[in-house]
Amino acid sequence: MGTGRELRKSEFIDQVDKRSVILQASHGLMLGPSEGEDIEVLRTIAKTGIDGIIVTRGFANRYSSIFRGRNSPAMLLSLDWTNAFRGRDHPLPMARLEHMFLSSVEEALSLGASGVTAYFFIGHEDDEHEASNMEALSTACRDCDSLEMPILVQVIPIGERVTAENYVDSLALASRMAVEAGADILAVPYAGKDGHSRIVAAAKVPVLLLDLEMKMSKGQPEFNIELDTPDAIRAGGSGLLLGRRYIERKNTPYVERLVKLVHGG
Amino acid sequence: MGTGKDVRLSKVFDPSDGRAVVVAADHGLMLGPIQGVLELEKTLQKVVEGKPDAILLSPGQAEKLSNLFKGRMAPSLLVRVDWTNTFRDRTYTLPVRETFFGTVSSPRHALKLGARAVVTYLFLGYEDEEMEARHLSLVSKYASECAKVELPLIVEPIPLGPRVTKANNAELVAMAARVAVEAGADALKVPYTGDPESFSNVVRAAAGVPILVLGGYRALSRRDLLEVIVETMEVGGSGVVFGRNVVQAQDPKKVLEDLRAIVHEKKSVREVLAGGEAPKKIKLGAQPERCSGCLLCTAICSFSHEGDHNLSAGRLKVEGRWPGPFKLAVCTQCGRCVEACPKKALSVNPAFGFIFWNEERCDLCGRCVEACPFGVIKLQGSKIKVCDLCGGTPECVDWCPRGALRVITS
Repeated sequence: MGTGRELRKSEFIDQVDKRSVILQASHGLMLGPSEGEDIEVLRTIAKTGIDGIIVTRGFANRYSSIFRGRNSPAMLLSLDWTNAFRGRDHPLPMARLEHMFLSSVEEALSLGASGVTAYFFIGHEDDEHEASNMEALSTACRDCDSLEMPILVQVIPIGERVTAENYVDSLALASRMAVEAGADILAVPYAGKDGHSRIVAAAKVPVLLLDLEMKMSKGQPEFNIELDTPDAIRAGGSGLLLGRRYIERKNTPYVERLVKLVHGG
Repeated sequence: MGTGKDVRLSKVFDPSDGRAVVVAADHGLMLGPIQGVLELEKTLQKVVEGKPDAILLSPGQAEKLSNLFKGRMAPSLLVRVDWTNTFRDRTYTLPVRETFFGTVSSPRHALKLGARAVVTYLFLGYEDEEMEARHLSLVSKYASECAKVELPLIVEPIPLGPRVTKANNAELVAMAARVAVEAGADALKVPYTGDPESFSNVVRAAAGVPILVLGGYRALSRRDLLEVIVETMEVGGSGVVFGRNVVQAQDPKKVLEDLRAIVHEKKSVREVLAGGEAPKKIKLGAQPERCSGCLLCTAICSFSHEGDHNLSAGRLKVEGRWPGPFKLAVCTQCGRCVEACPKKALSVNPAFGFIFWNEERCDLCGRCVEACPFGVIKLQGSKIKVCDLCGGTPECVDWCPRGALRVITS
């Protein structure tokens, strides 16, 4: 048995408080360029004490300098692609959910990544989509086992079948499925304090809060990052996964505040 | 270099200065449970406190001691992929009769362990040239696998065997370094060649590949040990790999702090030896019964102040003939020279207590020389030569082979 998985995971989950703040910077692959996006902003965010940054392989190759040195955030490679985040204001709004895996775990390892990440959706209109999502995720998890690479799974209830009544149950179901498939860390939308503590109890792995920028289902609760994050941490949560609005808004001090909110100090 | 290698190597060589302080603790694989690695976990816990950039371990210990490498700021794990019997000299059980090497791990395996680079030897100078060919072919095999998985390869090129002489050693280090680079090394750890000039040839031979100097060189004193590092870095070296000098030290953390100060904080050897603490008033103490009359103290005094070895220029005095007894005279900071000076050109340094000579005020009247009861203040040329305690870390104390001189802290 190798020890690489634990060592790599320790690069983006703080060893003292076991918490983490991760920034996702891989949206370009799914959504195209966004206004205000700036590599220099990302460089300054990288210096806020943030634990990890999620990137695509194209980005990893071009901007690897962000990850150089031991005081830089860890690199996480995004393995998959989806059109799920194309809302009504996108030039090509999602009509039917598509989701597929594009990069391999081996590739992540050769890029020097400390982890990989993938989506796991629940609530598909077409049940076959759920099956193929599970199959692809499991394949990635098996590769992670043999290559000693930790995997963070972003679990998102999606679609018409998810309502306010079944939201927590759907999320608990999908979270536990992802863990059984091999996830090392989860990132989930906020499901209220009680809901979140249920997810954490069922997951048995570190659970981050996913700061979703759009409503992925009717049942998705409102989320106030500053008020709800401390509650989620009290409920056993392990931190935050931030979306691309933090890069767009060029608000480095705000990210710094969120890092402090999670890690204290 | 690909992204993976670049990112991984940057966790060993600090990107802000391109330098590294590495600890080698893989001795057990080749030498058995020697002092310092017997209780490796305990030793390494102290080593980690000294914040080295990386620690080199055997694959077995890497797996057992992985906890030491957890966290982004923890040292990087380096794994040795080869083994040799060649360092088992006559002081060990079953001393080597013929040099052999072999594989104990692979880049793929090391990557699974979480290593950020692998380390291998490359020996040059075998009596049997087929062995050299086989060794190079093994290193090349590691290099191509490292290229595939994007794991940096650190090669340790070492001239070894009966064909290596004092005369050709430095040249062979440079040659072995170049062979290693051409074979695919991403960084080198090389033995010190003895002087900055020959080391700069090694740096040139490496063609931009970073070079760490091995800590196994002969050093007469703590100052000497650190000055070699400064010398190698002045000619383009990128830092150090220290093994026994760290793992067998009383206080590994302190040794590493000194190394970091030299390598990363660009402190001078003098500053490091002074300890960075609030300066204390010190004095030179002499124990003439220990003196062998070698005059190294007066030679180094003249060398460190004037750059030559003029025994009459020393700021201390050794009198007597072999086999002794010898008389040792050192400045005691009694202050009579200060009192005797009509121009107030001499004063006592408030921090360390040494006598300070102000060149501009001095008219070279020589009253201070007359006033000195020990004859250790001199007027030579247009200079007053008085003991300045080397700014707090007297060289004569460091160099005395018999311990006849020491620093007394008041």
